[in-house]
Amino acid sequence: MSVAIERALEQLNQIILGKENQLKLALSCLLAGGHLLIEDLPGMGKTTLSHALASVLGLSYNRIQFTSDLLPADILGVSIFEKEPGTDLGRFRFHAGPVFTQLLLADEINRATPKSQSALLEAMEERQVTVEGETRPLPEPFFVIATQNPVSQSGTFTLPESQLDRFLMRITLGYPNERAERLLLEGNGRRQQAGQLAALISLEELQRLQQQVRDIHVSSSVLDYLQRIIAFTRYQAGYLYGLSPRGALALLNSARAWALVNGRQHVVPEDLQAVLPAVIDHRLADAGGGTRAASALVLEKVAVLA
Amino acid sequence: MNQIPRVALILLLLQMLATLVIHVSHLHFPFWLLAALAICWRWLMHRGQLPYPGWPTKTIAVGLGAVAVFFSYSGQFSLESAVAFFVTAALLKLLEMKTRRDAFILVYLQFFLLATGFLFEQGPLWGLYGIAGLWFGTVALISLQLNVAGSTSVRVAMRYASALMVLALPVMLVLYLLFPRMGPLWSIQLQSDRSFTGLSESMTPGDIANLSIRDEVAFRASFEGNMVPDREKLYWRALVLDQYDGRTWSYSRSSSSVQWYPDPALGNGAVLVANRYEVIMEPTGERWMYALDNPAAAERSSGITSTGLLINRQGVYQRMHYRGVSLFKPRQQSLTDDERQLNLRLPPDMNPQARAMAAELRQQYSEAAGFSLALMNHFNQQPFHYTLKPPRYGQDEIDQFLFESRRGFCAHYAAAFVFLARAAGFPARMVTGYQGGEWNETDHFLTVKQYDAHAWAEIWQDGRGWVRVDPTAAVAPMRVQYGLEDALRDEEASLIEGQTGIGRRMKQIGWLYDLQMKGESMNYLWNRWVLSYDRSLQESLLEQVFDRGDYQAMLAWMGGLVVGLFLFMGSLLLIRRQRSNTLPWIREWQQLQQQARQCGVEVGIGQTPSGWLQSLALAMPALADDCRRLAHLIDQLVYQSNEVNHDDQRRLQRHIRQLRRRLKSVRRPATETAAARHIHEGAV
Repeated sequence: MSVAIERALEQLNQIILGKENQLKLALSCLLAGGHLLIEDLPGMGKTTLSHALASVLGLSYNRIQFTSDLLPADILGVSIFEKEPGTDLGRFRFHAGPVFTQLLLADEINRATPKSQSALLEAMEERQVTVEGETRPLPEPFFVIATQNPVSQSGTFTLPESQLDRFLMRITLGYPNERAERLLLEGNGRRQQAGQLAALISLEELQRLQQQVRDIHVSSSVLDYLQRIIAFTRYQAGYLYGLSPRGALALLNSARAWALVNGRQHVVPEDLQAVLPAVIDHRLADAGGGTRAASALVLEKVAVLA
Repeated sequence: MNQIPRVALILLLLQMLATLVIHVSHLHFPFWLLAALAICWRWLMHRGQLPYPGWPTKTIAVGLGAVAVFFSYSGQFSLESAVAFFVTAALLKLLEMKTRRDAFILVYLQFFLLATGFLFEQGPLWGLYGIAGLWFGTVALISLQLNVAGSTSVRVAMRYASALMVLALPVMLVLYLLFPRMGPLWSIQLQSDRSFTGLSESMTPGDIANLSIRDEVAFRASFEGNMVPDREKLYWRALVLDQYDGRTWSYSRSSSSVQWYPDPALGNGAVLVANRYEVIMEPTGERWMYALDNPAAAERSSGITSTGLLINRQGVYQRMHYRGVSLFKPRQQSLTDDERQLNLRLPPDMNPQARAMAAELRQQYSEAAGFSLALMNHFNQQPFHYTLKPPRYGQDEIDQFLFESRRGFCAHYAAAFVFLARAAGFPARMVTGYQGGEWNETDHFLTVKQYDAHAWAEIWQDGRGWVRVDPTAAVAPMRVQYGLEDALRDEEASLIEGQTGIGRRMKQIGWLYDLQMKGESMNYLWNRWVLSYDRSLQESLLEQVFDRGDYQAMLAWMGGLVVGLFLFMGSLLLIRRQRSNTLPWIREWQQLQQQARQCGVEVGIGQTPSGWLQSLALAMPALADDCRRLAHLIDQLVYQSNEVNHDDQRRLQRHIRQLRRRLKSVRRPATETAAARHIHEGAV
């Protein structure tokens, strides 16, 4: 495992206790260059996690609290007429919105109206923003970490499937285990320091790691397995619709990043299986309305070797 | 998923109708009503507009069905009533059909019903229909199994069904050619109420006239080397009627002793054979067969009576194919006293005028030949009419015919001739059969229809034996030379079936006539090569292949061929599957997992190789090292490399096989612990 990754994970683990797997997934997501969706109840540490990630990666960080009266301009920015001092002349000047940052935390994204949601989601896909006919590129790298309350909570606008698809991964944190909670209650956690962590991975290093992810070796046997998974979601009864090619690519890139985070230069089936729930569960709807996640069926029914 | 898919249901209902169509010739009207009712009912049930019938309804339906069959066939057990009962049962099953299993049963019933259709219909078109029905039933069967919805499933099912039929074809051919042909077990007992058209054992002169308007095929014949005798000589003898009671001519059983096959006349070396021919005879339900003059028994189970008729041991209940042989010389050289008596006997005190005329002629001619020539001249010169519609004759019918109306059909002339001859003291008898026929130029066969039925006379001439005399030829020579239709006046000819209006005109339009002949040819070839393939043909075929056509060798061959075919197809499938994607080392891997499963180690299909090997190592600590090594190898060769090349595959295969051997060697203790765990769990 790369020393930088190891240290970053170590650091993060001290902030968020007992969530090693989720932290690894979150890091893999960013290394694969994808956006991350964290879905959980309020107060589970979603914001802390994203804040800590931004600090550890040394990225500029903005946060938007999504509310139902948030407007697209509040995210993207707005042009304001400014008078030249001392003259009667003036001109419009663009005031960049909070989206112009390297890591954007979109807190409680499903509290905003669809109009505002889509303003952000377009920026996520195209990594540029067009305001008043002028296209402005977003900083490089550009990550969005969005948090979302479970849809059953009141006052939420569900994200449609097409927009969920733009998040590389969706993770849930869940309640901490007993020991971690005890440490937290004892005040040993460093939650409040999340924003003041030293950057452990420089921008160049991040880009190098992202390049490494792209270079991770994938054997034909793994691709076979991946294709069986895709085919299974498309042709097997029980799914409303199958994985899109974008979903398939997402699965492959996530598995690569996961392999790198676990210190391997090649992808093994375990990598695919590890990222599978985070990558496909939010992309696939269960046709039967069953309680099992889409990935559970895949893990059980799709042959690894065939 | 136990429901019947909609598409499959539609196919099933259609198939039900299609299956009944093959029984159209004998199924009575109420059963069609029942079919329509049942099919509509089932469809409404599918639409949810009618409930499924409960047991009281079903019981009543079964009862009514049984009663309907009973009354419809007047309580007789015959093939028709059995099939009708079966049809009723299948239709009622339709109402009961709820689950897929029911639907399967129904499809099999339909297959069986289709097969029973061939007891009644054996034409080539019905054969094609049967194959189509089989295919359609297979489509229904497959669509029952498919989960795909809508029209795709029909297309897929059709493709599968076609492939299956093509695969089944060679097996079908082998079975057709080699399956032992048993005698017709059912036909004799069950076809009791089946009526045949044709000649009968007794005859009043009007009978032939009735028969002569029927357009049904009596038999077809072909001649060896296409040496077809002239039309005037084509007298196909069926029956000799030597008893006359003043009204009816009949066949005396007492007189006939039979020379069964093998015929000594054919046995000695120097046989003079006039004609060799083959006949495909439509069933008559009687024992006689059609033969030209002076027949010999050339076919197993056939024989020659003392009256010179070719007969069969059993009645002809199925279309029969036989060889016929005509000798040059009649075998009967002298007449016994009994025979002379029999062929001179007349009912006393009838037809005085005819008797007087006979006595007068006897004065002039002492020889039978001269006598018959004189009679023929009489018929030819006096104003006799040949007609399909003779008047009804009462008492002394011969007198009335000869001296009053002088209108008659062939049987009247023959009857008058025989009466006069007997009255004059010359032994004579009536013969019925067929005369002429229609020659098919393209495929060289003769079609003889019921309207070719004919009656003529035979008179005994010392030194020459029985000599054929056809008085009809003296009255209406056209009948013998060209056929009945040409011998009759137009308005009478139109009475003949198939010769009316359109039929007559068809003969005049060239291409239509050709088409008709082509149809005839197809029927003939079908009969000749498919239907008449019976035990003797099978034996002769086998004799050509083997030295003797013994059944053991045949069975062995049949079994061998079928098994061989299946092996061939199976291996084809296997090869295709192997080629498709499963690599040898993965098959080895799957076998390892299978073996482990038998040892009580759980195998999840979604488990990764290294993950599963870990659980195997946990379950069998003795194998831990091997498992670790193999996991490492798989990681190295399968996941770190790009493609698993040939050498790596061999290597993997070798290692997996090695692990399998190790697994086998430690298996015993492992199964014991697994069993112990099982017992433990059971106890808890």
